[in-house]
Amino acid sequence: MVKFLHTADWQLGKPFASVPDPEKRAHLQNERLMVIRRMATWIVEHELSFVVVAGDLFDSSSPSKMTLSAACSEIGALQVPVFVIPGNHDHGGTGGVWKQAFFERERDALAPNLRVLLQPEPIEIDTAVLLPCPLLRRHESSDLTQWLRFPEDLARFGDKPRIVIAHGSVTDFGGFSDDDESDGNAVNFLDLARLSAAEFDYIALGDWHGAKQVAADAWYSGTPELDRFVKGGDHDPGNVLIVNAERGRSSQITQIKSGAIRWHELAFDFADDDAIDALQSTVVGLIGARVNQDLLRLQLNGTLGIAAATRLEQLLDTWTSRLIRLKLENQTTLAPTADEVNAMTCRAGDPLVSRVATRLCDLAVGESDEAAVARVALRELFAVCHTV
Amino acid sequence: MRLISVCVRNYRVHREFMISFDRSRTLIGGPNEVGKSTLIEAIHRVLFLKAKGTGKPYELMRSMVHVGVPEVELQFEAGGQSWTLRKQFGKDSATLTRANSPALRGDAAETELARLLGYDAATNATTRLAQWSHLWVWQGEAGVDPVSQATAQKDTLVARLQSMGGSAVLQSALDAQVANRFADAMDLLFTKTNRIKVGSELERATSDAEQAKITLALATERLQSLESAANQFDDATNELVTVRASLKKLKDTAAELQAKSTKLLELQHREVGQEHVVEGAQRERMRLGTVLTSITKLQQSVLTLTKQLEPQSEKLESAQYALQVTDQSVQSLEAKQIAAAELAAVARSRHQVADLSVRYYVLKDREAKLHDRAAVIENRRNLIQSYDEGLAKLPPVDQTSLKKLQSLDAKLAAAITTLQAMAAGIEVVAAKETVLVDGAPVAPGETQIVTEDSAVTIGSAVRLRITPGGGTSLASARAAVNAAESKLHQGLCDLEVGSVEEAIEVFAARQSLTNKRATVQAELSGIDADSVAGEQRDVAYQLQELAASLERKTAEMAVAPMPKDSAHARQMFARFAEDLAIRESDVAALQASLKSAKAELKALESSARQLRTVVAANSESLRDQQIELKLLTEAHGDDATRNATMIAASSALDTAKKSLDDIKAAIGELGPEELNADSVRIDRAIQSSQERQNELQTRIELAKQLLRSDGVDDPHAEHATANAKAHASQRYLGGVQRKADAVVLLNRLFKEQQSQLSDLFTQPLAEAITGYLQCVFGPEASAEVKLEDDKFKELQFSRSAASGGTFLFSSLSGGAKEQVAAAFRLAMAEVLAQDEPDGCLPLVFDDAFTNSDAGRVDRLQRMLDRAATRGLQIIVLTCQPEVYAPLGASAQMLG
Repeated sequence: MVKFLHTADWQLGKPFASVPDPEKRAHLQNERLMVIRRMATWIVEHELSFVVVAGDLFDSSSPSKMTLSAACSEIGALQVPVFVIPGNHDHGGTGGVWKQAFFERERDALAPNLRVLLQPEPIEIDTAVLLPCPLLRRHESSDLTQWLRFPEDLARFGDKPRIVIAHGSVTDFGGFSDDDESDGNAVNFLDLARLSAAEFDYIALGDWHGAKQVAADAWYSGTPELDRFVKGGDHDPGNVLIVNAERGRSSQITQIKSGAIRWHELAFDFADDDAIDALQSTVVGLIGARVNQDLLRLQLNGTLGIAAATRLEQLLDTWTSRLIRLKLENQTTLAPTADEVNAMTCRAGDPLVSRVATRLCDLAVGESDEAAVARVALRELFAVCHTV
Repeated sequence: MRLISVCVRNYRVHREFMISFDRSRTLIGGPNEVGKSTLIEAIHRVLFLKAKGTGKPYELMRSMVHVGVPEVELQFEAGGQSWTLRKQFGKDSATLTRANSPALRGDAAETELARLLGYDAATNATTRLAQWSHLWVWQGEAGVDPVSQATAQKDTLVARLQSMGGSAVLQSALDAQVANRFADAMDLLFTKTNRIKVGSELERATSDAEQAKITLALATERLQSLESAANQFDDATNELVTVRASLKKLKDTAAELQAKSTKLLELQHREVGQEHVVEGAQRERMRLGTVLTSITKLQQSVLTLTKQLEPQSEKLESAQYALQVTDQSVQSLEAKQIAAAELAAVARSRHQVADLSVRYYVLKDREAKLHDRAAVIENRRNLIQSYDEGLAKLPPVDQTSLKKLQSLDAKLAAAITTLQAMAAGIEVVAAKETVLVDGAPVAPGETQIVTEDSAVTIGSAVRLRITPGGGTSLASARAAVNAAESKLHQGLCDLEVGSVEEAIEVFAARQSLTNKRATVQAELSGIDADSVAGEQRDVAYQLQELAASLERKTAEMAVAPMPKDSAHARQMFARFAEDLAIRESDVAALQASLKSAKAELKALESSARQLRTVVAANSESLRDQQIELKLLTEAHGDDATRNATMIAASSALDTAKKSLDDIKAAIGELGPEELNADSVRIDRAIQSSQERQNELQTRIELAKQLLRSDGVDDPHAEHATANAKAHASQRYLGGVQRKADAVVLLNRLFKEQQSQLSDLFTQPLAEAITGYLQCVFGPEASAEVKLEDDKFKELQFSRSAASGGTFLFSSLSGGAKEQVAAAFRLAMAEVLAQDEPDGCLPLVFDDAFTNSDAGRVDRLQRMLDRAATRGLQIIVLTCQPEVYAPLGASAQMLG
């Protein structure tokens, strides 16, 4: 029997390019290293023998030296052997990270406990037999578990639990990849149904970013720290799995919440200008008073008057500041209220402003670009009239 | 405000002058320098210049001829009251008196006056002098653009127009502030040429978006380059494995081919040696075969030659005999031919002599005939000469001269007849006494014709004067007779004859001789007299030649009989010609026989020569062959010996050939040609594979270098960052652009609305101007007034399209400027006058239409009258008052 930590999709060095602020970007990147540091605690706490990283340890096949050094440092600190297979992001092919001289030097210097499995062949260790299915190129058309369909005599390894490590998508799992690079087509396909269940005690999978059991003893651990807004309701990212495996028996899985950063999604429709308050309450409910700990994808719809729109802008400004990222899809339409329209168009003492505002109200009708420009102009006019 | 009257004293040219104004229309006329302009200047000064003061305006008022300070007293109505204003300039004496009220004096008067006229009492003299420039059209300033004056009156005008336009308010302070705010925003964004301003937010956003796009392109390129390098590395590595395996196989094949080549070389060496052995055996066998064949052939040849020689020798002998016979025949014929030729020569000579004789006698005959012809010609020529001599002796009367003579004679006869017709005849029938006519006695019975005054004496007692009729005609007839006689006499003298009759005779004689001569001359021409002498010379020469030839020929021929005459000669010629033909025929026959015999002889000689050659050659050949046969037989033995030797040589050759065939079969099994081609092919394949291997290794190394990360950054991360930045900057640019578009839109709308407001606002003024313009330019004329940025824009004047459409004031002619400016002033005054209690303002036009033609001035008066009708007080100063008579104004004359 052996206890080990199953994790995957660390994607260290992920640029988070859509986060405009460089410090916030660095913060997000750093959190992906911090979660490794937290793993050390669980290793000790659960007396784990080793760690399996089922692919995509790095976000790309050419991470920067800084990322390599930081990764090796954190892995070295785990104290137990760490077995890694390359995934589609950090594939083991030509020019990949694993054969770079700098990586090898840093691994030797900082993480002697790190072992990269680049060949599809059994690796026997004290407590188990590891059966890696490494990705040697970004997209592999053949099933990488193929070599395990007719394995050589595994009996020679006695009763050591047999642990398959693979990275890709599986049949029973909708036939698509969870990778944000793939465009919905199935790549790096793993046909687990063609493997003999009796031959293997646990299949440690990577690629899907939520924790997911896909067969009796086959699990995706998911990414330990979220790196995107989740897809679908049954997505459960931000975990590591503690696996208790034994030859010929079902493995015991313990799921540990590992993520620190929260990724929220909110869709909101403005029924009227007062709905601004409801939106504010909802968002506060999500992020509280936290700063730089959350990301929010906010979809807004409906119409707002000029004053409400101005207030919304102020709120968005605040949230942009507090959040690591506010991913905003603002479909709201500016529709000045009757009072606002009157306030601009019925100014007996200011004939010029009245006439311009009336023209703008006429132009602002419709979905054309000109109408959109006219709405912006109306808001500008409204604002200027209230400041002079 | 309305002017009632003015009185000026000691004001420049005026000692004291007073004038009253009509309430509507006043015309002040007078010649130049009489002080019209001075008068209205005085009114302006009293209204606007303080009495107290110094300086140029004050000095200019002073009179150079009148003593005393300049003084102006003006009566006017203002604010619904009548006022009297009196100022003595330089004396600080100003008095303003309202009807039925105490007078205001000094500063109080000035202050009240300023209030009444609506200007600031504290303003300086320069500003004061500029007052009412819209109402006071000074001399020479009628064509000045009135818009500047309108701008000077803008506040009053705007206030007035605002009250007239009702709700049409120009713009509020807030309007202006808001509009300015957006104009400022526009200035921050765009240059004056409407380009995006450097440093503006829009420019920065555009620049950032462009830069982000470039960065993304570079990052993409870098990433693609890495991916391409990785693909190349993989492809090259995979291919290298295949190429190496292929190369090894090729090298094994090359080694096998090498072993076969070595064996082939050895076999080919042996083949060459064996081929030499076979060739030796073949040569020996061939040599023996040749010898045997030669002996057999010689034996047969000797036999054949011996048989051939016998008939050839016989044929040669008979040929030589025939040759001899023919040769004798030729010689005989040659002798005969010589004899015949000699006979022919004699016959030819005789024939020639006969021919010459015939020709001689022919010529002789011709010579005699020529001699006879020459005698006839001589005779005829003598006759002609005798006729010519006869003619020469006769007077030269020809037909023309004869006719002339006869004509003169007839004229004379006619003249005499005329004279006689006029004459009187005196017939003495009987007389006792002597009757004398002109002294000549006329016997009785005689008649005396008198043609002129004649004295007739009958006896001694009677003397009569007979005067024939006709008077002077008688004398003229007598003169005509004399003239005719004279001409006839001259004609006879010219022809050397005594009378006309003689002349007729002479003419007949001359005619006879001339006819005879012509007959003889025609005869001479018929016998061609001129050629006879030449022919005689030719015949004589030919006869001489023939005689010489005959003499030569007869000398050559001893027995030549000379013919006696022509007939004999012809006879001889016929006989000798026949003889010559016979002789020449004989010669020709003999020549033909000789030619034939000679040809036969030549053929026989040739035949004999050939036969001799053949016989000689065959004889020599036979002799040689017999010797050779003898030598061969001695060398190679007899027939049995020779056959045995031949069989041994054939056997040796067969053995050598078999051995060679064995070697060739072994070579054929190796396939030398294929072996060689295979070697070349495999070598080529090895070289190509090695080159490909090197190429792949190079590519792998190159790809490795590209793939070797420097680790400074992550190209994938860099690309993702650049992509996000490009999108973000594009989004940002979109926002900024939209905001800029909004600013542009706002600016455009503000300007549009300002313009529309301005149009509404200035409409009453424009309409007033249009009303006046139509008086002058017709119903299609109109004016447009724009107020922009607190200033009136240049006046725009429109007429019918046929008259040129729309003009700016500055583009008008001098006359049109005066008229349009006047319309503008009148309209402005009309608008401003509505602030006045009596709705009136005075307008002064001092010689204001000097550039306008008479027709326009006429219509201008309609415009001025309209203004007066609408309440304005029009005062026109002119040096041509008669022109303004149709205005119907109250006229005041100066001077």
